[in-house]
Amino acid sequence: MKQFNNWEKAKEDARHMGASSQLPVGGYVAKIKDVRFEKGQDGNSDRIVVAFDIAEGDYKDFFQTQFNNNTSEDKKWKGKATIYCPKDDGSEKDQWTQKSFMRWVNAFEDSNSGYKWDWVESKWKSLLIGLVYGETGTIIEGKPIVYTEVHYPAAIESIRNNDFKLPKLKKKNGYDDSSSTSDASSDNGFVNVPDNVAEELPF
Amino acid sequence: MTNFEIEACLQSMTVLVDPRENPKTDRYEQRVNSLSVPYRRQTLCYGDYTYNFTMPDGMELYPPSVTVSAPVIVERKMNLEELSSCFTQQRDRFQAEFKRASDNNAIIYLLVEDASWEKIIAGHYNTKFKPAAFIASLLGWSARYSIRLIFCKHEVSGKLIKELLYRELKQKLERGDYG
Repeated sequence: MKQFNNWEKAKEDARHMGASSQLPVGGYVAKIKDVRFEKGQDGNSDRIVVAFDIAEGDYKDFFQTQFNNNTSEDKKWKGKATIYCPKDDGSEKDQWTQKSFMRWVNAFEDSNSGYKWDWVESKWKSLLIGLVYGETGTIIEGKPIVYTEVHYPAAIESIRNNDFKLPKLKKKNGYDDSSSTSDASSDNGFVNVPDNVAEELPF
Repeated sequence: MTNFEIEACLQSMTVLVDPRENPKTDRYEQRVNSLSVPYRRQTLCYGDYTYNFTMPDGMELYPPSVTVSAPVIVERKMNLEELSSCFTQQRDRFQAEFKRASDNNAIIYLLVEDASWEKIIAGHYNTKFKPAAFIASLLGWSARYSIRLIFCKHEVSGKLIKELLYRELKQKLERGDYG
């Protein structure tokens, strides 16, 4: 057989074919790459956006590899999570936000020997944390899609010991169990998260 | 810079507008409003528009008090009449401005509103500048000063100015021009 053109490139490209563009449901040890505090606008909560990459296991450097392989002009780092800051207004919703926030703080403290939360979120950069990925269903432009994202943080030892619960499907924007993703799904049952969804979530 | 620092720099991008851009017109209002990023009027050594942004250390690239010699500028002309006047009555001033930019190795975008090659070739503008001379000047200057020429409708010039500056800034950040 005659060698075809661009053999080396085609061979390399084939390595990435079929590779999911999303992190599968499961637990991961991650390293924080960047932390950004965003002031809440129009009465919304302040939020901390963390960018991370997988630090251990089969999916190590998943987001860096994905970022490097992305040829789009305005590519975004996909490994992100948003932590809402309590408003301290005594509301029931705020109490839930406080608990959620403390879950992150505890996960950081439990995952990094000697680290204590001191209200300086920028110190999270380079820390390790456990992250549990789960499915989220939503409706985008009338179409139901399912993608994976961080559902909750955990101590890294819990992840390493497989001592965590896989989360249930999270439903947003009117997504329900009768919603079918068959039209929008790719081969692996998921869809690429459109950029506007990524925007809506963390960065 | 990391890709996260680059993203933060791009998110902080603002536009500097030279004070010679007349603010008392509807078109000006429409233009600066469609930039879709904050803008500030600040003296530029050459050109009408350039970018500014906040560096990772929290400092602005160009503090408010400085006169800016920018590496990328957009020189805007409101129509072919204004452009032809720059090549005729105001040629010396126009040339001096482009030379300053060129001497500083600046990337120059010449954005001419409500213009097209077809209009120039057909002489559809209200001056006595001959089409052949107009084309010769425009292309001659483009070659001499490496001008990137853009024609557009005035309704979209604000959006284009912002996009041009954003793309140039992004390239420079990714190339490491700002550390």
